[in-house]
Amino acid sequence: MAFIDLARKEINCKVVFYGPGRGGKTTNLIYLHKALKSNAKGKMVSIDTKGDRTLFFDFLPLAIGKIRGLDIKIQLYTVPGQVMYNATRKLVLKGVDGIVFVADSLSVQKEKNIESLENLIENIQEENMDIKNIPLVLQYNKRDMDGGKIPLLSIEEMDQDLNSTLKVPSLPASALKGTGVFDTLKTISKLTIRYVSQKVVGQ
Amino acid sequence: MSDKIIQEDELEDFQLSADEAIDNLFVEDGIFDDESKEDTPVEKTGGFWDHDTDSPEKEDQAANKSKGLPFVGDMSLNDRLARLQEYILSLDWEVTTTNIFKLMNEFKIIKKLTSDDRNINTIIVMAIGILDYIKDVKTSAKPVALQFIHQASESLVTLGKDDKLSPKDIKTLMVKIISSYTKLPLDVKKYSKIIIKKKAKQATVSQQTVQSPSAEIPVAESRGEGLAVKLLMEKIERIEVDFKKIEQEQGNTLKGMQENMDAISERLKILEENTPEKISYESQPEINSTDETISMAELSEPLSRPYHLTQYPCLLLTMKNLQLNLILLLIFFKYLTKK
Repeated sequence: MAFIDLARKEINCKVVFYGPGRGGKTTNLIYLHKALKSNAKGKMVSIDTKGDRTLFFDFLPLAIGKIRGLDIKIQLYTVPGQVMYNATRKLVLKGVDGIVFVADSLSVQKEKNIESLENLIENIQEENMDIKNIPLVLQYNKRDMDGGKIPLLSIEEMDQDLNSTLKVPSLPASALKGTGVFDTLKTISKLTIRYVSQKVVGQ
Repeated sequence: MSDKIIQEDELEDFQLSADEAIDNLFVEDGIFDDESKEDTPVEKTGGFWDHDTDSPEKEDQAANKSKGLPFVGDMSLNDRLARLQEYILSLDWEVTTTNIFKLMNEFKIIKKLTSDDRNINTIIVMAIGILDYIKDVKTSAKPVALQFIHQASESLVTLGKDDKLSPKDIKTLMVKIISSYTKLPLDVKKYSKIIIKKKAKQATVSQQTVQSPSAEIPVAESRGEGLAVKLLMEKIERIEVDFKKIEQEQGNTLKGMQENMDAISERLKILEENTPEKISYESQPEINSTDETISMAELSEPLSRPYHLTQYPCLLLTMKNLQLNLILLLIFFKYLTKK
């Protein structure tokens, strides 16, 4: 659940970028950090990074500003994608309000995508949450490689693999070039704020 | 007063406003070019690392110069204010010496940049003062202090706008921020009181959940010694006030009981030993907080026990005194009838 600071009239929502290793989660955050207006972002922090692998997590705080007297902030986190770091993923998922699942469009990553999504569902269940209730957006990353030498999965195929039961918004993207990154952020932010505000009202 | 931060009937409006804000804010910076996207340096060793990847000075240089605004280090006032807000956001997330110094430094640069603007300089002097407090107490800093830094930053943004504000607006803004500054120590003190009270309440509620509601719980035992003393002193103050009121209403009937603070304290100790539940913290008067949200948080907590007479120890003391008087009267009557 979002952290609500009543004294400061502030709601902090937590959005986690989840997905298989080397899928582009950190690249999403780095792009956002570079491209966002400076009045909307804080400093980006990467905790324990080795090479191009996130071993712990990345963090980027964003401020939406005051909405009807309430200060709304969104904290973006990434998780380490590698299978062995499941304990860290569970830790980062605690209190999550919204998830972006960054799937790798490379054909060779098909199984890894499914495995990672299953891992997400499992970890969410362990947190006593239902994946169908929590805001979720699928991002099909690395679409810029379409037409190149490396075979990619088609959008339809990825939808079939990952979104046939979930039926959540899915967006093609290229985190490296920035295509679709802001659309993903906007979609998940809107869904998350709806989710959190409804929870606040329902309390 | 409602205990909800968002009301049910304003949910839709709230969500629509949020959607609109997201659409307006989460847009790519216009000055961002393709070239700079590719060479994002990423720290490649363990530990905490800041991605200070952006270089607004260089990126904004051309645009800023065209505005004709004052510059320091090739950055306009507006850019400096945007950076200031960025640093505040970082400090919001993590109170560290680095974040405090970055923010302090930015305030000083803006002060230098606007040395001829007395209003901006006044706000910055106040903000740096509060930052000094945050620097000293770090994470123990009360949220009201950071709230003030936010207010100061917002005021600076308003004052730094290209279109000049009317003298009346400037005066209103300055009066508001100066009044926030002057009442800040009081707010910090009040906030500390509320925290102590909330902790005491939580301790009481948790005790009552594991024991029978009817059980007589010596609540004071569960608290730290310092807190107990503090609560006791508050109670003494409250009782003193009540005694004065009763005395005004009933003349000098209770005069004997109102000698001095020490005597009342002694009586309370005796009362505490005999009837521990009577000094439970629920009998404390509500702190009249002007901070609505704190009160709402308190309201959301379940009532720990039903209202009853024991919530007012002073009345019990009065009743005990009356009982004593009645006994004395009876003895006196018996003595008279015997005669």
